Amino acid sequence: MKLIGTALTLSILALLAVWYLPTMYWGYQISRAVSQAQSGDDAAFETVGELAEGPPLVAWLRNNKKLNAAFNPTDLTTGRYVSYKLEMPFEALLKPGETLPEPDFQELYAHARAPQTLAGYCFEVLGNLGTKCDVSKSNATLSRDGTVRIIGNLQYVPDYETGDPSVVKNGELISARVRLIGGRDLHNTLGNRAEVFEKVRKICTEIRTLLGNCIISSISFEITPRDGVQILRASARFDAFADSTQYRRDSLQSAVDQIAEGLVN
Amino acid sequence: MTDSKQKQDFSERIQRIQQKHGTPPPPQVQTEAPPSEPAPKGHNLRNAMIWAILAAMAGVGGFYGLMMFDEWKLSQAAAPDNQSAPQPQPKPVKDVRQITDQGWSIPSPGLATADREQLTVLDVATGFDPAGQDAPPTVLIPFAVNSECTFKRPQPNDVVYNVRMETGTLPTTTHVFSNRAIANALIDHIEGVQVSKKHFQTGSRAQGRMFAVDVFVTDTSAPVYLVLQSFRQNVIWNLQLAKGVSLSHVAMIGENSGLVAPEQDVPFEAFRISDFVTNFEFGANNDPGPCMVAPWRRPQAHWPAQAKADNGNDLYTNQIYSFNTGYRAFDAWYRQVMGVPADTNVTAPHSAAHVLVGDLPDQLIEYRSMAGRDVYVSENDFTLIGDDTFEDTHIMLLTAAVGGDLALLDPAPQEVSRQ
Repeated sequence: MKLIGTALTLSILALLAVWYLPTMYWGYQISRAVSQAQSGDDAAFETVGELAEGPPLVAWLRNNKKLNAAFNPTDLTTGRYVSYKLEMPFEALLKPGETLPEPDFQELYAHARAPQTLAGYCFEVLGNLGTKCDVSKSNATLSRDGTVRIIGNLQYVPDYETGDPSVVKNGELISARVRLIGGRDLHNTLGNRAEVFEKVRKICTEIRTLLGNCIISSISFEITPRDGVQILRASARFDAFADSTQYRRDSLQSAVDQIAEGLVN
Repeated sequence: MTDSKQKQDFSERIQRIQQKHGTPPPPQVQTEAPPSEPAPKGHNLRNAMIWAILAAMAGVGGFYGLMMFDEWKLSQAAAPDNQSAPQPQPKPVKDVRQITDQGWSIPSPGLATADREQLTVLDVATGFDPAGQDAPPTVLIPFAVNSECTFKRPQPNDVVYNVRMETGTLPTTTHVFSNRAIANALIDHIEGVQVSKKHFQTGSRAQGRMFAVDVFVTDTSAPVYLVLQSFRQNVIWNLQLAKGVSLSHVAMIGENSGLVAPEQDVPFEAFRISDFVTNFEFGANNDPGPCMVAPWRRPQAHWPAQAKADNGNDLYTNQIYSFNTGYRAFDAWYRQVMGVPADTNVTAPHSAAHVLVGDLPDQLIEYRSMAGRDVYVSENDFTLIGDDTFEDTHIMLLTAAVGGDLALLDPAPQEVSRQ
């Protein structure tokens, strides 16, 4: 009886130590960061973003799931994808000679043809980034002027060296974003997109040299028509599993910024 | 003599002397504890847990018991007022009615009546065949819905009867729906295929199924002006007229309305609710308006929802408030257009398959199913008979939309091998 009582007491204390107190502290931290952000402190936004992962235990659990999604070497996962935002006239979705459907059905056609339109981009994902490619998400909208906007993700399995995250001590998954087309607009051509893929791979190689591992968690292509030509915008996000006592998100971000700047200039 | 023998003799002598003098023997001191069972351990924690579980079970059981008792009381309260009154002609009738929060749902062969009397279609009709009541019509004849928001006003000598319900209970294989309805359903369906990896033949379909409702009309005292209203689903109204009934007009309100070609040549017209009340959501379309045609029913004392609201349940209080507000708005429009209150001679179950307007007929009505008859249906993009045809329509449209190969809704993963 005494033993059970002691065990119960210890369990409650352990719960307090592992869950309740860190959660209370997390609550204090995020409240403070939010109020700082509201008062105009830009740096606090970053902190809020990090804290939004949740209390430490939650963040740890999420990290493990994310870690698998990022570094799984064989399976398509939600942690790695290339996203495309496309804009085109509705007629571009039709086959040669195909009759224009009634207006009531045009949005349905756009939805129905979005996955195959996106799957058409798998060839460049397979040629530049991965060994497997699959449409994981697609959506389409039709505006009144007849423009179709398709948004979707292509998941991939990397064909590049990712490094081994299991050797990292005190590991934490950190990420950094970079806009790849700096200060100038690129026309949407196969060559320009291939250039983006190449830059992204180089940045990831540099991160891996620095931290021992790297994943290209997403590349986003946004293709919009302007003055008769298609303009390409691109950005990317990288994940690395790094020693949290040495690296934080901001340190990876500044490293990525430097690498990207070197590649652009 | 050994020492032990001397000690024993001495001890016995002492005991004899003490017994002689009446003094109690000295307590025997055990020098060695005899082997015994271990003392029982305390089980306070275990017992507390057992009692807690028992208490929780009793509490949950009691709670649900209380809830069921309340439901039972409500259903008793909802029973027809004359249930306990002696019946002139006791007739064993299987009660098919089910009470819902908003009144009785009366599936076939139950008969909905204005006074909620417990009757079946056999009390008013002969020749009723339950197996054939949902048999499909022969031809669907589209008619243009009224776009003016004004029904023909009843004549002074007309008697107005209202049938107002949420839905019918008897589904047919007739479907009426718009291009937008099937397009939106298929868009939902595509998302299901892609996100949930459902097979392309399962998923959303256009909500256009029609429900059959027989309306038994018995009033021969004056020309009958019928106003047939279904709030939530499409209904095909099949009029069953007693001998001597004269119809002056049939007005229908619903999303899509159908009318089995009546025996008499009677003018009819219909409103499509969504043509006038665009925000077709519960609680959102109950405001007064110049064309408030959404046929809300006035909450009744026998509704469990009303009883729950009266007992202070906030959810039901809000629901009843919404019903009352909606009804007042509808009634205001109705009075303006028809010149009489919306509850004039009303039969308003929650849902039903057969409805009686007027008294029981003197003579049973010869039942006429809609099998093989023409049905007028409010004009729409798709009016079709048969569930297979309905399904094929979806598959054909989806196949055309995707460009010929349904597998392309969820293209297979692509792979390259790198050495």
